[in-house]
Amino acid sequence: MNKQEFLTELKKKLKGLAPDEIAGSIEYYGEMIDDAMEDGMSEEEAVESLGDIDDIVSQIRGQERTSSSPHKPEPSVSYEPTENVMPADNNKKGTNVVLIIILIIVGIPLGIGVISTVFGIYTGMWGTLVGLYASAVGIGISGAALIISCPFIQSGLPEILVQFGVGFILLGLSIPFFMLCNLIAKGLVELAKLIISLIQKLIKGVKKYENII
Amino acid sequence: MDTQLKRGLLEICVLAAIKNEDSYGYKIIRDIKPYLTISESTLYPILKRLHMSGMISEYSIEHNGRLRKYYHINDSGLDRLEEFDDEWQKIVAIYKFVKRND
Repeated sequence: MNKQEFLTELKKKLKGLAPDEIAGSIEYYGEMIDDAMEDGMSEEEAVESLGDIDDIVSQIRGQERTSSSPHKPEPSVSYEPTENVMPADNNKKGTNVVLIIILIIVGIPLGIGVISTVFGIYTGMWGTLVGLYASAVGIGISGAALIISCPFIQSGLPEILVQFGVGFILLGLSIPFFMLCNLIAKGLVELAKLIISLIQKLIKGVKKYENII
Repeated sequence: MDTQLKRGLLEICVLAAIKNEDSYGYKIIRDIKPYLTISESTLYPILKRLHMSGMISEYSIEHNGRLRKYYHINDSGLDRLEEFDDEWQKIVAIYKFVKRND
């Protein structure tokens, strides 16, 4: 960026400040560039040495607030928080509050909906799991029943053997099925923990944001 | 250096830079640089503050076809530097307190 471009952009970004404040700033930085060039820097180098133009703008704007209170006592080596360290922009604070109010108004019904949906789906998962457990147990019982009732059926040996075999198959299958249900249950518990930790992080994030504003 | 400490010292340094003779922004920065890092954007609000409190005054002189702004230390600015001299004794005492039992 050359000197004219820099000063033009600076003037643009200082819009809203008092005219003599703007003029003084343009004068100051124009002079800095000229002196740097006289010292041997090229125009581009001189402009670059000034640093980020947005930092400059926020310095000037931060300063503008305190210069409207001329009776501020000069602190000697003091430890008060300074506008140079944390320039909180007055213009931004107002819009921040409005945005937050809108966020709350829109967010609450939306949030209730989201939470209810998540809760509903999660509860549904547990319901399904209960069904699966029931199936596992049912298969197991059926298998056992087939085995136990073998001695009591009227058919011949082949039929008894088939029933015996099927019964054992069912009983056998029910065991890994049951273990699978256990795995799913563990998974659902982990999922619950995950959801809870996400909610905690969200709350922390909201609290942090409240502190900043 | 701690920012709060530095901020107080920067004002002192700027006053000191123009203590014996009037100077202009770019030169003030050059003169202070060996002691504290200061940028153009840091100096500007300090000059504004010192001017607003009456410790320095400013005027412009023509230089190579353009205007250059010079800063001059006023009596209250010189008083401030004297104050710093007293503060310095306190700082030394604090330093000794910090380093005690070493």
